[in-house]
Amino acid sequence: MLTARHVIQCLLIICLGMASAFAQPDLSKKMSMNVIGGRLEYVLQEISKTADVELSYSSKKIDLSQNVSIQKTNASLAEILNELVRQANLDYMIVEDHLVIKPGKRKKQIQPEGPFHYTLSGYIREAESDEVLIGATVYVADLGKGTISNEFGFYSLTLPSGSYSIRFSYIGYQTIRWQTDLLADQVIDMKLGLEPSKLEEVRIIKIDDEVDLAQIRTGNVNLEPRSVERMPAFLGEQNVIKALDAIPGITLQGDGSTLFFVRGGNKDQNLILIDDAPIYNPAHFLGIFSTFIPEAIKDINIYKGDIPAEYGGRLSSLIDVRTKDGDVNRTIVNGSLGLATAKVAVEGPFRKGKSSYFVSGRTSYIKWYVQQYIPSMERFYFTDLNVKFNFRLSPKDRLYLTGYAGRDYFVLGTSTGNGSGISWQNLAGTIRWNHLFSDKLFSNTTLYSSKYDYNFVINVTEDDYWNSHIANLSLKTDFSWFASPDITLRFGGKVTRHNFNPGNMEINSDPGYYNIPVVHRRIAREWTLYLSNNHSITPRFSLRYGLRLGIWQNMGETTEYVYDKWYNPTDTLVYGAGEVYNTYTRLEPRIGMTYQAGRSTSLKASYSRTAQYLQLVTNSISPFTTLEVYLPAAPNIRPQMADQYSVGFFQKFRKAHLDLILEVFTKKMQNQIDYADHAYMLLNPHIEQELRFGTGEAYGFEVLLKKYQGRLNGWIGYAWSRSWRQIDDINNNDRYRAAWDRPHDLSFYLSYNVSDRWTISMNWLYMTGFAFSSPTSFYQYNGYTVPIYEKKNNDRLPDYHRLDISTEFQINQKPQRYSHRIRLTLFNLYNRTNPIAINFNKTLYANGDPVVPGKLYPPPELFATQKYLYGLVPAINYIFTFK
Amino acid sequence: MKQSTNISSILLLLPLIFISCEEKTDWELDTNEPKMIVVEGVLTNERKAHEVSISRPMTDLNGTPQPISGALVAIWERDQANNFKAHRLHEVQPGRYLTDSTVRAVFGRLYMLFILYQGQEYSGRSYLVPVDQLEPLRYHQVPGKELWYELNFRETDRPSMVEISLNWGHLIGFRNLPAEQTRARIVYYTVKSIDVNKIFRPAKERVPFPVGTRVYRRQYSMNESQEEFVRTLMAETEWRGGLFDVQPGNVRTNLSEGAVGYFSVSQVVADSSVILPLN
Repeated sequence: MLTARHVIQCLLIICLGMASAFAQPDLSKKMSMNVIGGRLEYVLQEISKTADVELSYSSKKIDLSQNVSIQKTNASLAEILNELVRQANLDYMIVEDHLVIKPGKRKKQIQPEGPFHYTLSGYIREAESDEVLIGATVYVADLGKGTISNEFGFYSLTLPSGSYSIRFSYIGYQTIRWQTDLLADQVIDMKLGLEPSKLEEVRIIKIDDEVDLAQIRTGNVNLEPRSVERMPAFLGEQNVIKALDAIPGITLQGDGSTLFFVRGGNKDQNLILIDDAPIYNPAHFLGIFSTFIPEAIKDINIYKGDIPAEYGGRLSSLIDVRTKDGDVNRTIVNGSLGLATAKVAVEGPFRKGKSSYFVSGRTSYIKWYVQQYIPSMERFYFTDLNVKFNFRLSPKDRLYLTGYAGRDYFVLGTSTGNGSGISWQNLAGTIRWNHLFSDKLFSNTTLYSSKYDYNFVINVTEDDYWNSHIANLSLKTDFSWFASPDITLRFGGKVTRHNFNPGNMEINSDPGYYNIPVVHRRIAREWTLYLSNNHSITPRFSLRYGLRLGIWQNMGETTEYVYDKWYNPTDTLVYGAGEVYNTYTRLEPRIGMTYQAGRSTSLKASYSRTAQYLQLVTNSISPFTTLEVYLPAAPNIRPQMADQYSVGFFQKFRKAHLDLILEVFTKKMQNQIDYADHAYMLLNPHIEQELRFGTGEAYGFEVLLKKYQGRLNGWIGYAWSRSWRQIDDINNNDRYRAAWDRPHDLSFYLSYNVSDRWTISMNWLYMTGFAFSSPTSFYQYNGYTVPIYEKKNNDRLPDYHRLDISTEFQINQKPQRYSHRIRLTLFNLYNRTNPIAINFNKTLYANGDPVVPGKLYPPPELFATQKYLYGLVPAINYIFTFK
Repeated sequence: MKQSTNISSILLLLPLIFISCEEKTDWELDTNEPKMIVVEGVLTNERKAHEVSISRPMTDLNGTPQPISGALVAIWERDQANNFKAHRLHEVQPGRYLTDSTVRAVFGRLYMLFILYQGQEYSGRSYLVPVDQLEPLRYHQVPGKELWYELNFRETDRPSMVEISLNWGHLIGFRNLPAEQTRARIVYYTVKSIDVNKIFRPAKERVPFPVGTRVYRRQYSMNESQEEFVRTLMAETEWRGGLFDVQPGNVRTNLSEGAVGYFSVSQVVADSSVILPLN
């Protein structure tokens, strides 16, 4: 089995020998020009010199003696050229590394020249770092047509021949209007510079013009990493997963948890991808921190429904995280120091303008505090390492290599020789190759591998431990065919091999006095094919439809058991290596539509069917990441299925800089899993005996109102939703609310820029309490007071609410090579105790602590206790950047 | 410099001070009066009168169980040749039913408990498995309290229950104290399962006792079914409230018709000793 570790090693080796590239004029390059009535020839020479670009023009076709006036300070090359175009009736275009100036053809209206159509294509990048921009807009106002760049920054737009003003824009970046005569296919790689006045804005969704309005999907949210950085966080440690809590329809289990629930789905129904590779457990330190380093992230795209056909494997959501490619022009070091962790990220070019790297790491020093109280806690840490390399092999080929490794290790008493504790690690690696078959056909081929290991360390010295793991090795190819401005076809396929170890003991010392059960490992192969079309039927109405075909095959070598209806094993089936013994085939139709009702209004609707072939099998109610076991769909576990319908409304209030999003959804889920009372989950070869199956149902509505511009910005999100389960042999077969059924979910986020250097942010969350089962009566047995539960999830924890504030201050008065800032955070400002559990089995010990009774005579007096994690937690962070 | 060090120390420690706490709370339970019966029956290899107690569940966490009187209770034993023998139990106190003093469980036989109450017949069955020998009693001094000790518990090889009665009421200085202050009953279970909530179970009350305490130990064997019952019993009592809690659920039982509790059959070994000072 090729593990992620191996893949990462390969990536490192491969990348060392690579580099090549080409360079085009940088239209975003800043320059100043002050010419009044100067000769055009002189102005062109000045532009060439100042902007360091090769200009090509014919003195026979252009009147170089005409006078022009240009007064621009710190303007982009594109702006100056546009002014020149306007005054001198010129036009310009990029041909390879030259800027070609030619006579203009002023046309008020588009006059298609015959039946010819040409394609405009290229990449859209950030000017400063050359980082590709995902979801940037290319729009032709004259035709009312446009497109957005894909996850690799590529766009393609086929138009009738003619003269156009093309607008390139991306939220928070300067808009460039590009004048061109489209008389042949053109490649325009556009670079957009940050708009200084918008640097401090916080947005949750990028929606800035007509193209986006017409393409809004239901349930799709793009969370900007910069907004995550601003949000107050526990110990000042920015947390991508916790930030999801601010999005209506997504709720976290509670404090100390990275477990989250989307639109009534269970916690294992969320697919988290980092550069296409899945991350099975995004938690550090049991869930208090998340695995993602915000500084390494370029884009976070969240789908709560209407998941594109190219993605699948989970029922409820897709969290698609894209990491930074690295600056191809200069080396940048940034980092931060906090109370719990230190982070550093280094990015820069291998070859300037051609290839780049991005390396970031994080380590915790919580051990130092813990050792004050528990000296034997010698290994107590978590670490992260993100590595990414980016090569432009040719104008048509790009290669991206990504690696991620994260580890948690909490072991007590290692020096005494009997250290025990828990550890887990995530590994992920991807090799992605972009290839342009033509300016209309873009492909991305990805080889990726992920592995998640969870260990319960029994004895460090003897190397005795319990381990479970899940791993995959996948190869996929995705094609995007930009057939016309109205039709974008996506198609592709994937093959994956999954490996599961549902938890086994690895005993290297004497196994002792009892036999250790063996839980058979599982292997599965997954084939996927998909086809989807993004079809703009009219300028106002677009339709997205697609079909995903999944084939899941269970393979030997393994053993399966056959059970009767009372869950008793009746037969044992042994399969040889490579033998396919079970196949599930599932078709997943997806359809979505958007109608742009006006310049600022759109309506949207979608239906999607999703299938899930693997499940986290745990009956834990802890908010923490527990000893986790994954099981594949197999003869005893049918694939989970979901059908989701959603309808939405989007309204932009341009003058007030407000966006309003409303969505209603309903979701039906099949083959949902719950557990028999006190299911025996670990080291149980017959773990399927403990599973109970049934259906789930969720419905609700979500509202998001956000202010996206100005000194004061932020959003209010509210969701009302319900989530139900009906599972055989659970709750007397009656329907019951899921534990994560939290009808009310309100989030309130505000950020205020006091000055260019000083920002204050606040975050307030309110949620209905988590549902749980409380006793309806008790009985005595051998001195123990034993609870009786008559209804599942009949009670709720108290409502959850919390206010956090943070303030960030830029220490430098003016931008410098070394810039640094300081952030103060007060997490849970009003010291709210949000219980994570209520128990009924404690008595009061002599020191006043609640404890489990140790003596049964005299009969202990019991009382209810609540357990919570955080009160008010202050934090300070120091953040620096060196360019 | 010193001041800045102090400030940074405070900032570093504050998060820890505020993290994780458990406190008493008033929680209003939505209780009801269930119709089920609670059975606690233990049959051992000892020749004596064995007891089965029957009661109703209680709605108060610290309530007193309401005994059930007037039930017909019998234990049947079946040997390998399918010969049956019945032992009728007699109610000696409300809710307490005893066999006669000649009954004892033996290996290779199946024991079945039958209860007839208000027209409903409840039953449960169990069998005897061997018990491990008692290990020498181990204890250690309570830190900072000379001549006060606590028991060390070590799991037995096979699933078992160890019941320990401590009595120091005969010692000078304790003679006039009420029994609640001079006696303790402790139960330890050995369950061979690996459960997350067991591994990370919450803190348990410590039970110190003085030198000279009389210790009476009884170790009961547990068959597979009883071990499973105890595993779930512990999940709802001693193991609940730890770091990795599991879904609450009803404790398993070997009784029919919705009755709760357990009818167990065990082999028992016992010893007694006196706590002596440790060197």
